Amino acid sequence: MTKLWWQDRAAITGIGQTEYSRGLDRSEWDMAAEAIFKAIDDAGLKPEEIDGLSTYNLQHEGFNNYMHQLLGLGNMSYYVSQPHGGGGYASTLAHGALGVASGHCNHLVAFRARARGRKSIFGPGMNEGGRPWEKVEPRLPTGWQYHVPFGLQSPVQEAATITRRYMHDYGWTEDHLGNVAVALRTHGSRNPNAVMRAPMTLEDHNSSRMISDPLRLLDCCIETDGACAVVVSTMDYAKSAPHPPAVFHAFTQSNQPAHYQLTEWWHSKRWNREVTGANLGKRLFAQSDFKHDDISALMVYDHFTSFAILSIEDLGFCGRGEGGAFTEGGALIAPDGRLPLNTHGGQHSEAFIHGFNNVIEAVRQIRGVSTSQVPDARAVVVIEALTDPCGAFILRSN
Amino acid sequence: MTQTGKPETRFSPYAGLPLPQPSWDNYKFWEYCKAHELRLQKCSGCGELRYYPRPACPECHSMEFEWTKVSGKGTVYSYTIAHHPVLPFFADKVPLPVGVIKLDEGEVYMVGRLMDVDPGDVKIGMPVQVMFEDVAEDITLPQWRRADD
Ligand SMILES: [Zn+2]
Repeated sequence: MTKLWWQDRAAITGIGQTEYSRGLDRSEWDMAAEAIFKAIDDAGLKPEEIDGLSTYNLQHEGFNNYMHQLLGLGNMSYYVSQPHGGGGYASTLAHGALGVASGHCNHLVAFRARARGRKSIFGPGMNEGGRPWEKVEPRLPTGWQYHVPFGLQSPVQEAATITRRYMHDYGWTEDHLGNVAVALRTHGSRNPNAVMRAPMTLEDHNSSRMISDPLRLLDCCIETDGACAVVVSTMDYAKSAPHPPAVFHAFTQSNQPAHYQLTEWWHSKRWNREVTGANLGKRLFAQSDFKHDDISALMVYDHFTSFAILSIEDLGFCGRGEGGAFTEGGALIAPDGRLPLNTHGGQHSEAFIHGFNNVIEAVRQIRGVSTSQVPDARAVVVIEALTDPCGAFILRSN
Repeated sequence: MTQTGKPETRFSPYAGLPLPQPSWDNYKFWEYCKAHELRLQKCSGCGELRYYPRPACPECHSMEFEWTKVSGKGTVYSYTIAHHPVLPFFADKVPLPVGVIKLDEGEVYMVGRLMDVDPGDVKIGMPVQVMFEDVAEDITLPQWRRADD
């Protein structure tokens, strides 16, 4: 055990979200404002009492710096912003919670708003609505220049090359990917907030349109509009807050020096990503009072089904290469599965809010109000995108 | 109450092939491609090859290097067949086989199209050879074809 001084010293006291939809005709500011005010109200607080703010960098200009002023929040004594998209959501919550635990602020808002529907474009910039990769310019100044002109035009083609190699090395099958998709939709079908609720079978998955071989349509997350926010408070306040607190218990990140344009996924030397992932799981559980068998549910960044399987392996719920077989027998489906996964339906079925809706669902599990509730949920793991520098945390009941 | 509806936003995706914008760190790589030579940075400290171009060696941290010509031979380490074209340029090029190529020189991987391989014939381990596709006045892309053996 490597316990750290800040553990169990902050908790999520409020959650808030907008409606989720393929297109809401609303600005990201507008959606963020609704989610933030709802989360503050849920926490039993007033906007003026918020003195910390945390979000991701991958937003349109002005979002991070001005949100507190736009909403008339309190005087900020702590604000932090995390790079990356799906590789930023768990860390956005965690860095905010560290600010509360260390006494820099009393009540912090962490949030995410996205207008990703194709009709939700509000400007030509990559982060001004719609899909960023459909808004490329004639010249590519970033690392995308090594992928896009060659046909890896967006995350799905990149993820497909990674998935193909894992299937080759470890014998993952189409059914293994499908088991993830079916678990996500099973949970989504029970969730009235979910955009995708129609039941899905393994056959539906295996016969869905091929997008980038081996990834099919039903291996991919959806694109939606919406916003989520949470309030993190001191434990002193959390104990008397209107809802049971979801306590910030453990957190770590893992990255390697070669993380650039996915190079670590291919390189077999010391910075290979299997080392990155294994380190993340080892460090997280070294801090934790909970062992793997004690974990009630797992929230992963499910941009593609294969990365849910990799997340399960990285965190140590099974050995390397055993993740495919781990999905069998309804293992990922609540309430009876061995490790219920994304019990809201995740980015596949509920909504694509760059993972932040996973944080809200983890809180719902701890509060006991999920639509796919795991009985007596006491500890939930949340992990962000493995294709970015990656972080994970554990929330626990008090 | 929140407001709905929004002003018209004009957006149409770029129809051409998006091209690399060479930088101080990588312009030599693209210049050599233009001359139909595959040259990568070889560390003067430990001899390790590296790609994508960068200022320092991740193995030994030396900042000294030479642009060394490599064989251009490799094998398919992984691949995808892109069926859905994200960008308009690729619409008439799908299904499009794209490989992650492991160079014979060692732990160096390059992404490139498999230009003469039928989508159904791509296999991990398939030997390939670099070829150069001139796509603009200043840009040539290193792509891949089946090796003869
Ligand atoms: Zn070196």
